[in-house]
Amino acid sequence: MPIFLYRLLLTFNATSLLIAVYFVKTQETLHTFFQRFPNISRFYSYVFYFLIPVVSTLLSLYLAKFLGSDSLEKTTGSPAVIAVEQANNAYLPSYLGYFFVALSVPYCDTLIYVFAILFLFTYLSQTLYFNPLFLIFGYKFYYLTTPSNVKIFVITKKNLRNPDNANFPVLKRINDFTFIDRK
Amino acid sequence: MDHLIAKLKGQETLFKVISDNEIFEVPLDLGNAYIYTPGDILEENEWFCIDDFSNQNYCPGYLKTAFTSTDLAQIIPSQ
Repeated sequence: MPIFLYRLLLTFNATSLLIAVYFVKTQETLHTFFQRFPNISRFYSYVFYFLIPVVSTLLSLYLAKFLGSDSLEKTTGSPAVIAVEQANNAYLPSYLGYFFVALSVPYCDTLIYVFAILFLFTYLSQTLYFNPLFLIFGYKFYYLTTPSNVKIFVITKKNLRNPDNANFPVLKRINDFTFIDRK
Repeated sequence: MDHLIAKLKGQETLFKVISDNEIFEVPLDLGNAYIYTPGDILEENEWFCIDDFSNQNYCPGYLKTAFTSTDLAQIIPSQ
């Protein structure tokens, strides 16, 4: 799969909760979109809206194993990384921003316009694909500084505290600064 | 992990081409190796070798330090 399609998928995962929150705000049910769908409780429709980004995040985690490999391994006398910085909380301000936008957008056409802009900038920024849904699947976000003082963003299930213990024999490259620890 | 890196003409920067693929197979038997001297000709199944390569003045700097492929940008076809 071309890498740009994968990046589009990650951008969709990171921004699609905005649409789900908007539909919850406007109390749209599946029956509104699909007339054949039984008019069941709104609650089930909301669950469905939130399941879409969850499923596409799962798909992106599966597809990650087809990305190009890299390694960040410690060697004798040289650690793999010299600094570890947790980034789990760094996404919150931007993500809360998305929610507030979704809750304050009055019309559907405004939502489409705002979503298109957010999607474009999330895709173009490329340094971060903050998707809190990764946290649900046990992944954590870290900024790691390599011995050459290059700061990279790593998505991993490992608990990192001490730079001396960090070792990644296989990392998958999402872009030149973002890697996912998925074999 | 095996890495293939590239240097573009006229640029100092190194790029990563591909990782985790064996590009050159290392022969199992590297016996019959002789220190390289210009003008020598090898027989069948003989090898030239360079002793203490990392301390030679022509050894590139990136081989003297720990190598991390994540430091390098991925090369793209247009490059």
